[in-house]
Amino acid sequence: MTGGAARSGGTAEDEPAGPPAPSRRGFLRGGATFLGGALGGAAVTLGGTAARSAADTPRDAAGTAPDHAGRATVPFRGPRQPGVGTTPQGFATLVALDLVRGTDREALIRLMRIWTDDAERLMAGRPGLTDTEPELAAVPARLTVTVGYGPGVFAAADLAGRTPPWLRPLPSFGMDRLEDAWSGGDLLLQVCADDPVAVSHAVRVLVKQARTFAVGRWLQRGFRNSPGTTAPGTTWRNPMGQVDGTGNIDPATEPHLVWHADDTAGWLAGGTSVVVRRIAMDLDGWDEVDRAGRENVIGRRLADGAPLTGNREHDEPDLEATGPNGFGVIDFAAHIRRSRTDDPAERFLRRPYGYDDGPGDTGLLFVSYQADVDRQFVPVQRRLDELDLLNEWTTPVGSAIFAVPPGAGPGEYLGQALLEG
Amino acid sequence: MNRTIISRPRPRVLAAAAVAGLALLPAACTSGSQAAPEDTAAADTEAAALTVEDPWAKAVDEGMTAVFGTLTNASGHDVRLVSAESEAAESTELHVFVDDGGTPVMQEADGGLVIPAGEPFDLEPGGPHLMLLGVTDPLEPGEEVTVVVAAEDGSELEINAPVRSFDGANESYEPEGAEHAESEHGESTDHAAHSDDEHSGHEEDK
Repeated sequence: MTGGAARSGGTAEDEPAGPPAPSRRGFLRGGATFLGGALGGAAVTLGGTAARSAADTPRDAAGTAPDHAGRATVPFRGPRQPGVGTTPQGFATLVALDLVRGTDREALIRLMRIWTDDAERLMAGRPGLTDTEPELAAVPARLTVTVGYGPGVFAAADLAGRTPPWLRPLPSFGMDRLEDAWSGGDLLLQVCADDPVAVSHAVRVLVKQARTFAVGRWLQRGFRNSPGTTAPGTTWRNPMGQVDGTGNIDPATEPHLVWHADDTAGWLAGGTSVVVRRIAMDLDGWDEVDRAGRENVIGRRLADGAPLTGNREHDEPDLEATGPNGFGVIDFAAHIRRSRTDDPAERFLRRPYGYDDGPGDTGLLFVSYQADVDRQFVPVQRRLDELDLLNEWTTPVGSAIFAVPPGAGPGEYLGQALLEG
Repeated sequence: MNRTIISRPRPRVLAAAAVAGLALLPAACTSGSQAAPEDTAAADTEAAALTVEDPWAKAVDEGMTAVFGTLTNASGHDVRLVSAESEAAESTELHVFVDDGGTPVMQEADGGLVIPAGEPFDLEPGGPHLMLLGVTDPLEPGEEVTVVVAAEDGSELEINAPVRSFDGANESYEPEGAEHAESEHGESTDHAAHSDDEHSGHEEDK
């Protein structure tokens, strides 16, 4: 819900940097290319579990297989981790784990080798190495696995000196009502896919294989729209019904806002940071607000997300416009006014999901990626903490921050540049 | 995580097997002290025709564990594996499961393991596997353990198996171990704990 200055367009780094996706285009044109390319030939044949004959699948008039959403894959290998620039999938599970005593650098290297291997397999639609339910891996549905390191990783690895300066708990904000149950963590797994079965299975494989190294701290599940249910490029609506993400940045056109550059960042080159905040929504209280009031809180129309000063979603808001009584058309405390600054650096990539854990327990799983938390995220959060009409109905109840190491190149494991550099 | 298998004549020392790194087939086949004719003779060594996919080993602190994976034999004829060894274990055996009156029981494979030509042969929990006996140093998740398997003609295959946590593959080996394995199930243990009377005889036996 927080956000920087307006920039039209959603997140569009559809296929992360690295080897081109082996599947999607080839697959859409016809079956044979997909089968050989995406599933990796011999390995799958020998595994005997994931391969399904594309040629046997009926197609519609456009040549699209009915299960194309399930077959789609995102490449694992590359200079950057997947699941950041990837267009948000329909479903996400975020898991924070705490290292058990005795997990040192050598042990972390072993864990990263395991996670690297299983993440690569699962994202390609193949079973994990010791997968006890291999059939569940056969529908990757754009599965991505993204790994983050909390401060505890650097301490455990005896690499405290390499901790990024921004990797520490966020400053406490007046609106925070943080609970330990939703905060902190040494390791983060963000697992996303367009199918909840794929997410569930991948989480189980990865957490199970980590059990001698780390134990679960919290787990949060989130949802957006399923694939094929909205037109591509449609901005998502959060559980309050608001069009959420109109002003998001495009990491493909402004990569410096998300990714550390290759020449100056040392082990973090190709890496980023992730802030995870659980923001409870008072939907019952929100029910008491009429439509005009709701639109005033945000500064956008509910129907189409257009600013109250504009006609279309991506029109630039006119913060100077005044109404008949001399007040701003967009309220002085409206969310879109308070969330933007004149500083173009105070922007970041939002990748949020809704959560719904029962009546009275609904909200936003706020997930943002930025190169520098202190420079980009914290100033915006301070402004919103000072004044934002939306704060009446939203309460942060969880907060965690992680460094996201670069992606794994061929033959590498995740975190290698940190743990061996 | 595909692992390549190296073929080499038996007399060669196995020290290299201790290295956990990747075995690179091209280098192994062409470098070092191996005689030049080795390559041309490779077709005649049975092990050279085998490859292994997705090998792995079950993590264990000590005692017994097993190595799994999928072997493929491209030789055009069956290959018989007759022995195995690993520096991680006091002894290594080729195992199969047999039906012992309705109960699958693990035992050393009589006459070795025959890898049929042209089709995948799975080493898997509940099926044929490489058994490591007398492991003294823990095999920890994320490590690799090396097992060298020998074919009937003396040619050898090196398998570098990543170690993983795994709850299955609990079958016991020794004949008396069948009872032992049963007592490892939590339910049985609980039952025993609450049934001292019934089991008092066993206590006296100890």
